[in-house]
Amino acid sequence: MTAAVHLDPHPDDTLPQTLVIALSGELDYTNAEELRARILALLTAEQSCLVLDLADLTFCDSTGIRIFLALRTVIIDRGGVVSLTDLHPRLDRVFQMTGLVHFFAVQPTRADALAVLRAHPPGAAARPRLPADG
Amino acid sequence: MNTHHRGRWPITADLAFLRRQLRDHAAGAGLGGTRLDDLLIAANEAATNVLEHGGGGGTLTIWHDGTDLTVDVVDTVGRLTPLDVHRRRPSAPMDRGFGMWLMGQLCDEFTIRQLSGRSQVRLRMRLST
Repeated sequence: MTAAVHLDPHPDDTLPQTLVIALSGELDYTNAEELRARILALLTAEQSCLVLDLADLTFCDSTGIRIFLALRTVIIDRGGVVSLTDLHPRLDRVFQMTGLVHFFAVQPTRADALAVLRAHPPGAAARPRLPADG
Repeated sequence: MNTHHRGRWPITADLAFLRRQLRDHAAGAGLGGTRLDDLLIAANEAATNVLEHGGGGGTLTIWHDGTDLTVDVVDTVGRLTPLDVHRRRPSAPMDRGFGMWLMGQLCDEFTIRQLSGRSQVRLRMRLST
């Protein structure tokens, strides 16, 4: 049996612009590209933020990290943010060591990430900074 | 204490199987916690390199003695050289070479030897006595 990553969407009615997914399993070279495609397929045209609950993702290699960064590029182009939550200690170690924690909004729990998005919607913060306003 | 001091498996797309074998062997050798995780991540990167750039096949061997736990990952193209262990930290985690840099960070010893037409990555962790 090769490694598999399961996706479990958790839509939040108060945040229609946010795609919330819990990932579980082991993310590696053999399934990373497929995971990227599956997450992008779930992302609707009006969604600009992504919350990934990684509590049950017990392994992630460098190709998995590349996938997270590729998703981040898509989300940033839409003016949003990628939040990663509940990092397994094994993932947390790699993310700290590589400085990846600075590329994402890392939150202790999924609830924390959603609370931050409700309090500070990224789109609202970006709008006043348009050059035409200045 | 241990009945299996050595394990050897072909490197295939079933990396999860390889990780399970590695974890079992390393735990049996007395490696645990973060250091076991570090070896697991590093060995997985080495095996991934074989699938991605090293001809798509090779072997992974793990063994231990009283002082060290050693993992050898051998590919079938031999493009890696001893100098590849000195990679600097990639400026972006997206870069190729990121896995190589990680192996050097995670293991007590990280060396590369060129054999005839093959490259051997050696990862080593000291075992506390």
